[in-house]
Amino acid sequence: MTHPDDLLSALLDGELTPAERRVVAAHLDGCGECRTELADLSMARTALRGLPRLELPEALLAAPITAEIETADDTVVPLRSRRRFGWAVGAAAALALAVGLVVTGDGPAPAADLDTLAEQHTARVVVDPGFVTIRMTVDE
Amino acid sequence: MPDDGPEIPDWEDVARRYGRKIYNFAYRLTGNPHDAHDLAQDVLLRVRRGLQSYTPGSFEGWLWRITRNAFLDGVRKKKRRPTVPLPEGDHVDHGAAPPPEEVLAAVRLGEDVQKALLDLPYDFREAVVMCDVVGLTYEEIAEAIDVPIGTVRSRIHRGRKLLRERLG
Amino acid sequence: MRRSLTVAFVAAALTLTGSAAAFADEPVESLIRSTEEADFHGNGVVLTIWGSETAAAVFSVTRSRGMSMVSTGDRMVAAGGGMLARFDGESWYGTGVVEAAPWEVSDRYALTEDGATRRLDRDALSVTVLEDGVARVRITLDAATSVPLRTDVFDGAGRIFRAAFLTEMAGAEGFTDATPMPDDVMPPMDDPRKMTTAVSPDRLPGSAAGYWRANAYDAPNDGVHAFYTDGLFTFSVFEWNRTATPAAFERASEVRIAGHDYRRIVEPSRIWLQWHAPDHTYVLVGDLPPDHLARILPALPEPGDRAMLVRLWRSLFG
Repeated sequence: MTHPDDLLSALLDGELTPAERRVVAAHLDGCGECRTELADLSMARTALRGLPRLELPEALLAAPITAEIETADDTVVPLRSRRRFGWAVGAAAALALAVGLVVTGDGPAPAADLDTLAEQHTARVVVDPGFVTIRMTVDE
Repeated sequence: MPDDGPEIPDWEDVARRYGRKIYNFAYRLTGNPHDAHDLAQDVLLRVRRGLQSYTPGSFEGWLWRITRNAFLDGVRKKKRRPTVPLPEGDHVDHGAAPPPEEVLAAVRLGEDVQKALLDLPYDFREAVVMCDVVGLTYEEIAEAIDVPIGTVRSRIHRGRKLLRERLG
Repeated sequence: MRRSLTVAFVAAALTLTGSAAAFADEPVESLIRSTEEADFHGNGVVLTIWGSETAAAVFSVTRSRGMSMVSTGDRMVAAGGGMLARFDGESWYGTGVVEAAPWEVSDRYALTEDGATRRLDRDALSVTVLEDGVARVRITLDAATSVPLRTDVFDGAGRIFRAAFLTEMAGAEGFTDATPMPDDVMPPMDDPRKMTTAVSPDRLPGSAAGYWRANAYDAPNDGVHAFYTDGLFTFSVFEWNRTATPAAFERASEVRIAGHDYRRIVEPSRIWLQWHAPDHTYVLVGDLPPDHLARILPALPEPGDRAMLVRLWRSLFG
C-alpha cells in the first residue's frame, strides 16, 4: 500500500471516516516510516495547539462603537446612535462580567459550595500536564 | 419607528463569543499585537455591518470568510501605506495592546513556533491556524476559504510538515 | 532547584514510535507529557484509601484533540485550552484560567523502568516515579500509545493511597460514533468565570515541603485561592477572612494530623480538609498523598479558634 500521507494529519484531527481510520491504522501498524511521520506531525500540531491563548484586549470590544460614530454617514439616524449607546452600556457590563470585575452582592454565606471550589481547583490543575485518569476528578 | 430587529444584540453576542478567537487568529497570522489589534478591530466592524445582510447558513463559515478577507485586504493596504490610526475617542483607549504579561508569556512560550508559523506560505499558515488555533473543523475551513475539503486536508498536512521541519 | 522543561517534543516522538525502552533516564516531564499525547477512550475505576476512609468511582474518559473529558454517572468534566466545563446533571459551568505559571517538576522525582508487561491484553510498560529513591507512583503504560492503563500512588509507608485503572481502553482508531467526544459535549461558554490573579495571599506561604505556590487567584465570596504544585501532585488552599464552616463539612469526620484537628472528606480522586484559624476559614483540596499533607500543613496557618480567645482575653484584660 502507498503511504497515507495527508490522511495522517486528518487522523490526528479526528477527520477520517471510520473506514479510512481502519485503513490508516492498519498501515501504521506495519510502517515505521509513517509512525515517525505521525510523531512529527503530532509534534507540530501539539506545538500549535500549545500556543498561549491571548485574551481579547478590552478596547477591541468597545472600539467599533466610537469608530463607527466617527465615520458616521447619513444612513445613521440619531435614534440609532442612542441605541448604540444603550448597547455600549450592555457590552461594557457583559465585558465586566466576563473578566470578573462585577462583584455580586455579598451573600451571608461565608464560603462557597464544594463544587465551585473543586471547579476552581481543577480548572487550574488541568492547565498543566498530568495523568488524566487520576486528576480529572469525578465524584458522585 | 426605526426597526427593532435583533441585529445589534446579535453583534454583541458575536463579539463576546468569537472576539477572542478572532483576536488569536489575527495574532497568529500577523505575529504581533498591533497588527492583530487592527485586524481584529477591522473584522469586528465588518461583522457589525455585515450582520444586517447576513442570511442564515453556516455562521462559522461566514464569520471566518470575513476574517480572512479582512486579513488579505489588510496585507494589500499595508503594501501601500502604514497602518491608519483610528480616531481617538475620549473614553476608549484605542492604542491598548494586550496586557504586558500576556505578550511576555506569548513571546516566551511560543516564540519559536510563532516564528516558524510566519515563515509558512500563506495558504498553509492560514489552514493550520484555523485548524489548530481557532479549532475549526475541516468542513468549516473549506467553507471559510472556499476550497474543497481535500485541499484543506492537504494544506493542513503540508503546513504541519513544514512547521516541523522549521522547528528542527 | 527545580528542573525546567526542555523536552516537550521528545515525549511526543517517543509516544508514537512506541519504543519499549523509552523512559529509562528520561525526566519525569517526558513521562507525564507522553501520557497526554494519544487520543483514547476508556472506562475505569479510581479509588482513594486514607486510613479508615475509602472512596471509589467508576468513570469514563475520552481524550481527543487536546481535550479531556471524564464522566461519572451524569456528572461530567471537560477540559482543554485553559477552560474547564463542568456539568452537574442539569447545567454547564465554565471556568477559564487567565494566568498560569509555567509547569515544572520538582527534582525530587526520578524515573525508573520496571520492564515490559501485559495489561488489558495489550503490550504495556511499567514505570515507577521515585521520590528521593522511594516509589511514589507506579504506572503501567500502553506500549503503543502511552495511555496510563493503571496508576498507583503510594503513601509514605509504601501502601496504595490511590489507584486508577482502566477496565477497557481503545485508541483513536477504535472511536465509534457512540464515543463521547469532549468537543461535542462541551457547549460554548457564554460567561465563563475567569480566574484572575489575586493580591498576594500574605498568610499563605510561597512554598511548603517541596511544593511551591504557582499562582494565587480570587476565590468566591471574597476569598483567596492559592494553588500549589510540585509538578506531580497539586493542592489548593482557599482562605476567607471570616470563621464559618462550609455546609459540606458540618457532617465530615475529624482527623488529627501533626497535633491538630481537621475536618476531612475523602473523594475518589481528591481529599479535602477544612479548619479555622483566628478570624479565618481554610479549605484545602488536592490529590497529594497523606504523608505529603502532614509535611505541608505545618507551613500553613495553624488551626486554633482558641488562639482567638486568648488574644481577645489579653486585649480585654491585658
